[in-house]
Amino acid sequence: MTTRYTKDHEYIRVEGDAGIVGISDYAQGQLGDVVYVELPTVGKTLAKGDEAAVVESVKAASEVYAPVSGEVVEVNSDLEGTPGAVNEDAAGRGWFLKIRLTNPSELDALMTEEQYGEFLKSIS
Amino acid sequence: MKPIGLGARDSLRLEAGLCLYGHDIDTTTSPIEAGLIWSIQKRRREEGGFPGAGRIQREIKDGPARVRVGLKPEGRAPAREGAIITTPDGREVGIVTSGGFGPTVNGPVAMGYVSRDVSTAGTDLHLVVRGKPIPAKVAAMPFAPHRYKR
Repeated sequence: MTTRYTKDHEYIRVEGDAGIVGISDYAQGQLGDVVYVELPTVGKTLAKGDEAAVVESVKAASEVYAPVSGEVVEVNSDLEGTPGAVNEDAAGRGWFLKIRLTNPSELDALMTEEQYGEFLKSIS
Repeated sequence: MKPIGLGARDSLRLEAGLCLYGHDIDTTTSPIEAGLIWSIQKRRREEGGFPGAGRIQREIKDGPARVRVGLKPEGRAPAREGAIITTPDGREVGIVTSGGFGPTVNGPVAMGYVSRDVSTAGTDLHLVVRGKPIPAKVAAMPFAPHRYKR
């Protein structure tokens, strides 16, 4: 199981041929109280960089981009009732969607946990 | 006392139904459309003789073409500034000028301008958010009771 990060603060936690996508704990902290999450429909095909979801906080609406290409195989419908889970547990209960990777080599272009930590230091 | 930022202030004033200049009122809106007739003294309303008096007196007499209204979207998705307002059958009737999440209301709230014929509280409308129509109702403002002193 590996987790990779984008510069837009999405994470993808890869398990087999699929990955769980969400936003990082840093991202949820920047957004503030999450009040709504718009998720894609299951079965939707996304190219890397496509808009995968929208997260709305009290402050603003932000797009969540697909960190890799693939097909949406599951979405976290619990977020409809409890969008605050993104704030409370971004890496866990606050996940957005599960995507089946069409090109796992795309992961190589993403940051590791350690690289993302360095990236956060560089922008703070 | 605690410090707060612009985001908190914005949601508070929106729930209170207060206009933000440059958003809910600007150089194209009239005080009559905006529901701010109280800001013009009765004597001046009648006598006129100030910039814009012609339009204001006409709108007092005949009613304005568009009116600022409160909007309560169904569900949880906030509709923000710039969202197009349509009737349920898709006729464009206005635009959202402020919108977001109301913490006191615990749901999305918005305000905007609509044609007078669809401005009655309770009227069903749609707010177009990211290309999708979200059902909403025209709502009386304030969304949350005023607890401040004038």
